[in-house]
Amino acid sequence: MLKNVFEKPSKAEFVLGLATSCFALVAFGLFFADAVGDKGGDGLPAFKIAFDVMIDGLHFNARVFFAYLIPLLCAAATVLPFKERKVYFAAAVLMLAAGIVMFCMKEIYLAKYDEELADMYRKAGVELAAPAIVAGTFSLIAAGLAVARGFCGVKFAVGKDSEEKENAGGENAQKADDIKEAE
Amino acid sequence: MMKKRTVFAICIVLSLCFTLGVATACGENPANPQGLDNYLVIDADKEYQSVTGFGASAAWWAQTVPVGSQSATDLAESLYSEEGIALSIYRYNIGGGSWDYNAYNEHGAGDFVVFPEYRNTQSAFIADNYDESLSAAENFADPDNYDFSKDENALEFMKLCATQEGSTVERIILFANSPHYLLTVSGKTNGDYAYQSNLPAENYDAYCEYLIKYLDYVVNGLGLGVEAVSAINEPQHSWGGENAPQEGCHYEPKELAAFYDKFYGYLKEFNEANGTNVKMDVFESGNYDVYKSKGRVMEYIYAMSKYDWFEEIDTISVHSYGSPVSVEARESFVYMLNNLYGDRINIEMSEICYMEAGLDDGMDSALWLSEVMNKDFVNLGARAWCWWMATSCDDYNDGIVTWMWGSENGEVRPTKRYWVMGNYSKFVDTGDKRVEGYVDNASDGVFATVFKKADGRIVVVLTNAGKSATDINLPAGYATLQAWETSADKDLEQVYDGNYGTTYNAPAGSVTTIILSK
Repeated sequence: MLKNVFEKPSKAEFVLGLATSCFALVAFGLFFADAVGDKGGDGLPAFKIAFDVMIDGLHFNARVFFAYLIPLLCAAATVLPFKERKVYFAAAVLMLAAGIVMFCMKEIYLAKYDEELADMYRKAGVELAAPAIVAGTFSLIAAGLAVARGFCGVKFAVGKDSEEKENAGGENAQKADDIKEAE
Repeated sequence: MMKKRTVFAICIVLSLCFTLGVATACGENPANPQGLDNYLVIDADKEYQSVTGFGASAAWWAQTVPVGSQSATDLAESLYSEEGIALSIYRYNIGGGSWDYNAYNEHGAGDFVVFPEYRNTQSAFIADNYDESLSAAENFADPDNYDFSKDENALEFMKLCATQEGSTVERIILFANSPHYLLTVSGKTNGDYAYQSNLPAENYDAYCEYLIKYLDYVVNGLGLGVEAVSAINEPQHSWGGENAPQEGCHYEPKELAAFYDKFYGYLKEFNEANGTNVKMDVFESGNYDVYKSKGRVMEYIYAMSKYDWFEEIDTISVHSYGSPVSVEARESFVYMLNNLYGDRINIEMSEICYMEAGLDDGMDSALWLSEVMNKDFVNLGARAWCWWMATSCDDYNDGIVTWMWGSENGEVRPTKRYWVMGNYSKFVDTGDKRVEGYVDNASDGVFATVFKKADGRIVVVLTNAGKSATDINLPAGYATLQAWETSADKDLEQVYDGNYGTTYNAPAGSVTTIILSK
């Protein structure tokens, strides 16, 4: 059963999968670090933006929560040697989306305010914090690595054509030699 | 050809050298070139804010101080004279009248409060005189509807503090937690539910009249100078519903700004008529947390900034309750404030207390107080610093002295918080500048707040909250040193007066005021 799902990865596939997972894990870990901040200030971690305690209860911001949860899931997926390479491409798409959301954390944080207040916070110096930039970058890198993991070991049709052409070239040369010899 | 291992080893060594070099370069402090541990750095030429005073609130307890009693004399001396800790800011509470309907006896102020009924406040407004045929503003504008003898204890105690021989009172601030209950939506000095905006716009004028009547009585009736009136207190808090054990009123930012706009006009008129310069204190924010959802401090400031009068506001009062020991929260607030309004807005810290039931008369809460004061002066840039209630009743740590409320001759017992506040307030005068100063390479719990007096002397408030005594390395350039220590067995006691040395030993769990002279 498992043999139908998994395959023994090559060394390159293993390294790529591991690297993807590491980047994705770090991106997830930064869920607990500042997502927005200011120069020298305390900032607000992504998990607090995801679970924003408002006046009378807990407000759940699904975009932020899933943006950081996705890399964790993808980390688990990409470290496993699936036969089906679409898994890696799907993970790449998800991590790409997660990375974009991470880069938009400031706007997501400010979205709860009306435009006037959001503008005030921008002028006041609220900025995308370095950990969110790192998380977004790592998520994008993980997406790129997942794509590479998906393609790793694949023999491209383009490669076959070239081989055939080379072989064909060889055959033509052989024919030419044969003709010369006949003459 | 070099082997791979050799190349790898060279790379590792080079990396280590580079890292070490960077670390060394970054770690060196020009102010402490020898890299000494616990080195007191002082740069007296680098000046920050001017100090505008230290104080405490007279809310709730002052109304129980019998006029002419020994208790009154003892309390006034211990708080507002050089015999005591020389506080300079007196905060009188304009009550919302909850005494009239015994609000906090019925609803309960919590089991920890011995005298919950004392959280009810007296109001000079005579509710029985309220004429339904007139508007609220007309009722509250009528001087015949006021009887200030209802709050005689509190008013007379304030007068005693301000006029006693050797009084250190320099600033009187009148503050209110809630409008009078006859002016609120709920008909009480709390909301019916949490975050209910309890002052309707149609009663803004009436509330202004109420505040002005108090101001007029204190200025013209008692003959005391008033620096500011603070009409709103911690507006972002809920102040309603089940858990409302004291007077309070929630305002949304735009409501707050609209009320201030109205009150500014009343105050201006009063000042013109009386030749005074009473300011509008804004806005006793419950915190300075710019990122917390319930913080909202920037929203209130921004709402006020839409009005012309905001240009005249040079000081904002905040409370340190939100993140009392956070450096970062303070720096975020200051950073944002500066980005929006430049450096024209000063900050005063007008309320904090140690919110724990029981009585901690040891050093723990006193060391905490010193940490809050240090961070408020250094990281928040606070010019003034006020504690919440000056006295408590042995039941809660919100006082700096304990005294049996209502007693004619009750013993005034200072807590260590009182003495530690004195480590600052007795030695740092109005106009003194905070200057650059800190303990470099400090041991855990060791920190300093440094001020410069007009005559050039340096005041260092040195705290060692650690578990062991620490030798502080002193900077060169001074001739004499005086020190007053508060610790487990000393109450602001002078422990040294003599020649300057190279080190000073700070006992574990102590706060010491050191005066350095050249």
